[in-house]
Amino acid sequence: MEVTWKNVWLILHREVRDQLRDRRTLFMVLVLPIMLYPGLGIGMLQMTMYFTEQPRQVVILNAGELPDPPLVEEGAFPTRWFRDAETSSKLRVLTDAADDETQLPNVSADEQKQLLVDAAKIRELIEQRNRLVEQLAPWNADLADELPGVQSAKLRNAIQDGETSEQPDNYEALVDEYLELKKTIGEQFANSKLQVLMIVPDGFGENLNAVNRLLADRSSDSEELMNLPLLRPILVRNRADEKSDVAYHRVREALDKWERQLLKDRLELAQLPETVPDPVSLLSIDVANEDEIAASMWGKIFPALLIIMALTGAFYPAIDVAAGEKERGTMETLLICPASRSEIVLGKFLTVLLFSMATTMLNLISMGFTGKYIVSMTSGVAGAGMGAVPLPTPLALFWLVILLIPLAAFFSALCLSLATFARSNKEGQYYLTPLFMITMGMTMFSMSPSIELTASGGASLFYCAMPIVGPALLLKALLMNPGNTEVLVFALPVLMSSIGYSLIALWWAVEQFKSEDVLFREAEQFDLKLWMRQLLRDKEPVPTFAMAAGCFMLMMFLQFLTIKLLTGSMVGVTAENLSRKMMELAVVQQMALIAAPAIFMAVLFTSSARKTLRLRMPSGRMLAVAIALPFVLHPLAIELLASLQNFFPQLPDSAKAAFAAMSDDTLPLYVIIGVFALTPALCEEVAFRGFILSGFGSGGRTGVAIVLSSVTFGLIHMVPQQVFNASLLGLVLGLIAVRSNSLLPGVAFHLCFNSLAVFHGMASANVSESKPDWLDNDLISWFVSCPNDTLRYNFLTLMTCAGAAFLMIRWLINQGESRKDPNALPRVQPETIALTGAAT
Amino acid sequence: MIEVSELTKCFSDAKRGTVSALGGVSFEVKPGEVFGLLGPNGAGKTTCLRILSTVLRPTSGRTIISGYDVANYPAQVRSRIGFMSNNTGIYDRMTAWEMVEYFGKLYGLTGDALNSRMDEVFTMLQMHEFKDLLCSKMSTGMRQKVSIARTIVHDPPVLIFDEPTSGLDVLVARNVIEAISKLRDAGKSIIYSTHIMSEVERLCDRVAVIHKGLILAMGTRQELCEQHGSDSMEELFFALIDRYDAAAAAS
Repeated sequence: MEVTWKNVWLILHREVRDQLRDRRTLFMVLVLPIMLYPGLGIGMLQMTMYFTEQPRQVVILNAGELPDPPLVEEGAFPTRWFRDAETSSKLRVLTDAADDETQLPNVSADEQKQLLVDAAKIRELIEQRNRLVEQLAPWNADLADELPGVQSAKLRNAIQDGETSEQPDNYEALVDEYLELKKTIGEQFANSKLQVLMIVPDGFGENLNAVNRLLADRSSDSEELMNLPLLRPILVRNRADEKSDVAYHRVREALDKWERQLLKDRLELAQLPETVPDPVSLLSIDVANEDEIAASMWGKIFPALLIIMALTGAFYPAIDVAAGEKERGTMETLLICPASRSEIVLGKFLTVLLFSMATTMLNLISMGFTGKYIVSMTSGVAGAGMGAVPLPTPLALFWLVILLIPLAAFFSALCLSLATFARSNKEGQYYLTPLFMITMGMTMFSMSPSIELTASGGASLFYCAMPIVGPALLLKALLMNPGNTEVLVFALPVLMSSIGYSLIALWWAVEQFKSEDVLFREAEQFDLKLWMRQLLRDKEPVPTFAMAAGCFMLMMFLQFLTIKLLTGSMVGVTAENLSRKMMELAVVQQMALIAAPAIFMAVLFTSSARKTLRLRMPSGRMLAVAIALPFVLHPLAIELLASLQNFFPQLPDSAKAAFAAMSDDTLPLYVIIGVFALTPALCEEVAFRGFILSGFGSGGRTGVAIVLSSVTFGLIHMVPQQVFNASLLGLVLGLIAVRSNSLLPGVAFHLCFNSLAVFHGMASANVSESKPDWLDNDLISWFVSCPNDTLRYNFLTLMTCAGAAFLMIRWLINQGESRKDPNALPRVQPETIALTGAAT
Repeated sequence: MIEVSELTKCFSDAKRGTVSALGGVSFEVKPGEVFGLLGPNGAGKTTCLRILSTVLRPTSGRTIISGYDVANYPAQVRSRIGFMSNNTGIYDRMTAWEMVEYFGKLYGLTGDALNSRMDEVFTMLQMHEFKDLLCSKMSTGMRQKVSIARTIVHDPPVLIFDEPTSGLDVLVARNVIEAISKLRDAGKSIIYSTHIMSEVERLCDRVAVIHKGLILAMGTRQELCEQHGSDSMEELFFALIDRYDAAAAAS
């Protein structure tokens, strides 16, 4: 494909100028980022200045019982009980102490009275509840937690060990009563104007003083101290109500500080040092310096922002340059000019890339400066905490820009393809939401702290190979520690994969530009009835591309739906039955979720299920090659997977269990072969080489069809290793199916290949138990060896196999050269109505 | 020079399955000649011309333009034709001058050659007074002129006009017709598709009547009238189409 860069440049130049003249784009790209963040910042500042928080209502019942130092003074917690003195003004405290005549501001005397009445009602209910809790605690671990320390621990252990006494007859009734009461309390609390209610038990202060006295008097009997009752004040709040929750935490802060003071007084009285309650008295030192704190903050925020902005920055210009061109009727003007389709797509792609990068950079710069400015402004007022957050270091910024390129390139190419597919601007906009959701999902995945690139980490290279995730992780690592050269080894794979994905997306865009259907399709109105009728009545012998895609979606959807069902049925299966149960499920899954949808769709939606599923006899030679190929491909596949072991994430436990079941020697061999080789060979071939390959190939593009069928075949395997393995095999299987135009050779290949894998697993299991003598044979050791308890193939085997495989696959490829495509459109014979002749 | 032989084109349609839009069309156009393609809407005119302009691929048949096969050498063909239709719009956010200059550059013109050619075209079409106006602010007539200027800026030997006067008022339409006859006098091979009889009578040297993807009759105006025994193009046209539809209904 020859590209004249002069044309690309011309198109790029025109598109950029066009975009800059478009007010919408200008607004999105330039004005919005420059104005938005300062605007938001000013707005936020104003909000914090003009809107002060309403004080929340706290009621303390039995407040007369509270010991000194005073917890409440003049309708508020004194400022000394808070870290930040301002917090005190955010709580209004009403007590029922006899001498409390405080009139709360903005509250009428009646309201004040009502508050106390409500509080008293709730108190009664709470006391009722607590009595029930005591009764129920021996059988309920959660309720047991509410009891005082020793008692609670005892009950909990008993419940855990299943050593509870027998439940009383009315246990269920009590539980019901408890739940009913809980509901009533909740309603009462919500209906009152209370945010937090504190109930002080009778004699609380005296009790506390008694303890103090006894502690101070060292000569007294400790028995007496132990026998004193434990009186606990109760705090009531509603966690679902944010106002109540916030108030609760503030009250807790005051109470904790007050309690600390009480403890201090108690120790002083007992003439004990203040450090008694802190035997360890830990001192923790934070060695992070400001740069690093900032780096870690930027490392968390920037990759996510970068991705979202690169996407939105690419999306709108892409819609305008592709779908917009169709809508404005200039697409055909462009198509008849000498610039090739690739040049047009490249020019447009570079435009989108430029805008994506510009938007992102402007957003980041504007946000960074606004943020810094506002922080520096507020730090003068509020002071503590925020401090001055330094901007990222120049090195970090450098990496930010470098990694923006592959990200923006990927999004630009993807958006351009989607936009080319769309008929109009409006249709284009609809594609944003799904794209955005998928991107968000991948971004969240890469922001998870446990997902990171490490030089030794198993799956790092695999992450690098994922779109979006790769650049995001590399950026995260580099922003966290800009000087970290260790992760730079991942730069190349990340760039390579990003470029690869971008090229695929670009190729798709070029393909769309070559497709008459996409360029000239009219906006048809969708008629469900017509569509259904067409689907069921005007059947073609083979399914359409969309049907094949739909079939695959259906399979994936069914798999997703049944995950819970399948894992559910594994619960409670004993160890000895595990393999058997797993095999049953595997067979059911293959038949119901893979074969059934394909057969169902083939019968329902095509006029020839036989042709669709390729149910015809192949030539003998084809069958022979299909049986021979697995034997040479098997060692290659084993060694390839082994050498890529560190590339993929660890196998999930379920997959490991499945592999273990393959070499389970308690089961007869025919069962294992039946489950792991025969069933998949039949079901997966019917689905992927039958329905899906026929559908994808219905447009006459066999190569694309084989690739797509193998990718879908890979994806259905879920586990990354298997996805990779199956995709490669899918290529060979697809080729066999297309060349033989029969399902049988594929089934034979699949059966042989999976059987070999089963035998290999068994042999490995055997050699790991006892190494057989024949492995020591010189001749055999040329071909097979046994390091680390698995059976491995040696270089000589691999070379032989590779050679043989090459010859056979080449033979397969050459088979098709002479065969004409059975799906090509028939040449239409023009009707010859000799009107001119007839007239004379 | 245009040679079209046995051109067919099939579409797959959601409602009707595979539809044959062109069922074997053959004609040729010589330099200095305006070849009229006369047919009702949906006759296959636009499909045929889109194949000629390389935007669509034919299902079968051969088309040679200036010695290049359309199917095999689309790039060479594109640089040798000027194509204008209802669907070749102009860019709203460009001025007349920028628009024509942009396409001139895409056709490989540069520097002085481009400038003098553009000056020539703008003078010929009397476009100088609105050359710096954005296309979005133009009247239909001005837009049509920009479109024609875009079509001829690279001075191609072959020109294809697909209903260039549809939606224009009579004055502008007359200007367009005049511009095209000047181009014929300059020795271009021109295809002119329309469903307006008077334009055919004024402009076309030879005419093909096309209906449902087939050419029903072809020849000079005089030949056709003599062959079918009718006085005017209009009468002839209706007679041909009625006869075809009757024959199609009978079979």
